[in-house]
Amino acid sequence: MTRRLERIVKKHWFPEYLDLDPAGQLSILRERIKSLLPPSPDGRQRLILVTSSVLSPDELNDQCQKLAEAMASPDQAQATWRFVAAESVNQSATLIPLAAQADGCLIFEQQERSLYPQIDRQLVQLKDLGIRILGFVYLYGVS
Amino acid sequence: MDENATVYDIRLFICSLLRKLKLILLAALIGALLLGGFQAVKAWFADRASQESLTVNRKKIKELQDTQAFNERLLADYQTYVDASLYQNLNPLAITRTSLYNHVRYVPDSGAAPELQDPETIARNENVILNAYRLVGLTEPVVAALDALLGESHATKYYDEIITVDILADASLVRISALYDDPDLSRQLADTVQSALYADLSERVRPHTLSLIRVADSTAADPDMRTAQSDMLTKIDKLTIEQKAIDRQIEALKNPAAESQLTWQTIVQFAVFGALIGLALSLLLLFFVDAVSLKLDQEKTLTTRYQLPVLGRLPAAAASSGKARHKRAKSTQKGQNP
Repeated sequence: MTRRLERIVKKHWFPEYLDLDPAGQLSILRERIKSLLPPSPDGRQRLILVTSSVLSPDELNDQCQKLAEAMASPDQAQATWRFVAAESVNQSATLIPLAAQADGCLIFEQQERSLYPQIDRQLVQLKDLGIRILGFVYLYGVS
Repeated sequence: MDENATVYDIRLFICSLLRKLKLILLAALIGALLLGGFQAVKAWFADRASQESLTVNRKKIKELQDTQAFNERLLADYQTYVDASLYQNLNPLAITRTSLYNHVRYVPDSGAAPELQDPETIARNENVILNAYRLVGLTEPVVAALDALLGESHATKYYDEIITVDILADASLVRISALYDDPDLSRQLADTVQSALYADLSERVRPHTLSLIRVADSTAADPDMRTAQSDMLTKIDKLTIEQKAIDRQIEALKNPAAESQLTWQTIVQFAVFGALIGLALSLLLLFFVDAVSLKLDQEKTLTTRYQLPVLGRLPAAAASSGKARHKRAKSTQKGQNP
């Protein structure tokens, strides 16, 4: 009963938590990425790093796959945007070579206070590497 | 980047309260049981003590009722006395005291034996007559004569308060005094007593003569009479008040049910109060728990803290469970901070 009550209240105050359409959200995300990082005039593929302090490597790869699918154009043989999972920004050895090529970075996060230190470090490191941070992808969960 | 920026939304707090509604209700129930139970136990002990005191109360009621009956009788007597007494109804501001001084002389029958004529026998007989005046007081014929004078019947005791008969034995004098708030009536009363008593004692004790040698009368305020009248009214008032107080005491002792009824009301009041306290404490506790909670599902905080846009929202449930993510986050943190 309390769950139902909570859902009713949330539906009233926070409809975004309940009525999100994942496909629709993905399409919004696609449009925003497109506007922030339009296709390169020289046809070069855009490389976007995807990082997170909450997702596992598999989950990150899975998200990259989803994003790639969402951004893909059926009429193009090669994708305009490529998403690469950068599991941990501390693994500089793998990140630095990618950083030089990366056009931007997406951070998948869920707002949790315990994550602040990791997010802080990630942002500092990404900035130090000169990577453009496009923004957050908010991972929501209906509890 | 604003390190301290945290946006707290009361609506989210309410959502989290709803999630813990059972806990809140439980806290309210515990509060109600604790305070209501405390009051109930207190009432139980009070009730037991009340049962024990019931026997004592019955005895007290009996004693009070006896006192009340006695007082009632006393009050009736006082009231009768105040209504019937001549002394109580005179005006003490102008009282006339009339005193008749009479010389008593024994007169033997003309044919009496010579031994009855000697001075010693005469003196002894005069002494008998004086003692009769002193001791007999107001005889029935005297009272009847007084009733006839006043036109109403009064008991002897009420005449005794305003009429005195005393003697000066050495001088063979009898003094008859009467008090009244009317000078004429005062004199008439004294005259009536004198003539009626003389007639009665002459016939029944010894033949004698009674010579009036002086009449003294004076009119003045009588403070003793005033005090006596006032004291009597005060006694009546005090008794009336005491009777009412006893009534109240008996009523209070007879009615312990009122207290028990009040106790039930108090138990309910305490239970409600306890529930409110439990509710308030649980809300306060949950607020603090929520305030220091690690998780605040709030996108706005993220954007405010890092000044970066949220480009989109994707469901996290499919990715992994919250616990797993949290565990991973912790392990990452440990790895980075050896």
